[in-house]
Amino acid sequence: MIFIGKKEEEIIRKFKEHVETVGKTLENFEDFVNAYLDGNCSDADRCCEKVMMLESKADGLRRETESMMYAGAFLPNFRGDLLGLIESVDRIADRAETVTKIISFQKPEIPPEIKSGIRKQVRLAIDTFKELKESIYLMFEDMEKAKGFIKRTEEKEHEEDMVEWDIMKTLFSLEIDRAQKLEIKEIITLIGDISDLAEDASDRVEIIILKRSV
Amino acid sequence: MIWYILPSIFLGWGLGANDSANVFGPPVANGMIPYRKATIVASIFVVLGAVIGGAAGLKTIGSLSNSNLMESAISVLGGAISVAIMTYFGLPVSTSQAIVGGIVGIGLFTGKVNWMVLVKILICWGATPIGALIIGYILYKILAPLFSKIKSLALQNRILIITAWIAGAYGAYSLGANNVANVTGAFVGNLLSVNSAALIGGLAIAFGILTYSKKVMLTVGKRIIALDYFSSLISILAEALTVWIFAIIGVPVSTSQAVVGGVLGAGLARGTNLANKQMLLRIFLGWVQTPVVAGAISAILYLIFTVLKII
Repeated sequence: MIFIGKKEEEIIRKFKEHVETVGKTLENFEDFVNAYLDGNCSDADRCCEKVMMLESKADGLRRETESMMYAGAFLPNFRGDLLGLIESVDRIADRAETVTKIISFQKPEIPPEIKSGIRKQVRLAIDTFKELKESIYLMFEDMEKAKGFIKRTEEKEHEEDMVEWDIMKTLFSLEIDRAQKLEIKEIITLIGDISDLAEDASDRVEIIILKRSV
Repeated sequence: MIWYILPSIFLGWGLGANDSANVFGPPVANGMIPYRKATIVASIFVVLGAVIGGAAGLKTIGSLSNSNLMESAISVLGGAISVAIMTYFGLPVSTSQAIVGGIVGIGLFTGKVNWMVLVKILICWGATPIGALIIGYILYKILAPLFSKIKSLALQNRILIITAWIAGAYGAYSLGANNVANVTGAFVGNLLSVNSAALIGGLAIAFGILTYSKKVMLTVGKRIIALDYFSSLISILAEALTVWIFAIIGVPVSTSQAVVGGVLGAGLARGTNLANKQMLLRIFLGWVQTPVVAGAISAILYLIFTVLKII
């Protein structure tokens, strides 16, 4: 767009690159979970490394974007909002990395009864993030359209909550060791956090848009 | 000659230091525009406003009283001292009201007040905040739907920054055109031509903006940016337009009261009533207190100078 300054354009580009990297982190996280559930250890290890590498790349992009913003692009209040948003999106990658590390280190034994539920939960977490991603991209281009994706992020998060609830119910109905149940419960809750964090970030997008309504 | 206009230069300096806050305060306080660049643009446009659009106001103030040179100098000195004292005590003060008070204070002794001109000035003072409120309301109602049509947040940012520069430059132009009369108007006809009064007055205001405006700009700006970016720009535009209209009519008015009107108008258009008793009391005190204090100080100075046989 001709009216947008070079600094602003560069920040938007970096911002989107950061969001894309978080998205790739999540895709590799899904591959990791699926490989682990399939018992494919070598694939799981490879994906685990990739998740960690992408999370670290996202961190770097976040820092670069933040320093560029404080060099004077955009309106000052908006800089603060954008900073809050990028950190909020970054936390999604952090959480995916945390779950990956926990599974890789603890190597929990997942009962077959909940495996498909976990796959579905991870998919829904990624779907929630995808809606968030669209809302962020559209926030820069068309705020009206972004509102629709904010709503869809909430809906996906709710859907994920339901799946999480079902997994928990099944888990605690199983005749397995209580410690094992608690270990898996922690992992399920952390996977659920990915959707929650995506929804938190979409709330920030909503506030940014609301601040601009005249 | 220079001794006579020294109080004017002092008053112009104070005016620039204080009133530039009403045009560039919000965008500078919220970091949209850098302070140094704002002061340079404001100074240029203040001088342009004074030279291009200041004639009508200068003639009005010049015709308020048929004072001689010394009486004019005392009027301006009284106005300047009252502005300094009231600013020190944190009281609402307007140079327009101070200078008129100063001229009338002496005019009451000498019997040289042109009452018709004074009535015109008083009507315009009353109309300033009300006019700015109406203009702010209308501007918001017209521009808000247009602004909300801009869907891109990045483009909105850009447009807000560009508008802040335009509104600030226009506000500075209006400030120069309207308020230059406060600075050198009293000397029009007895010492200065309209053109030289406009140039000297404009430069004095610009000097104040360039050297001593930061503190007030940040303080006043932060009060106005309680509004959102868009509404704060609307209030500056409303103020600029109101003050410019009065510059054409030829009556110096208070930019601070105009900006308050603009803020209230933009707020009302948004559905928020920002008026409170304290704000209305400050406007009322500005109308009454400032001219009375300035008139009293000028009158006392005049009596001292008469007793000392300087006049």
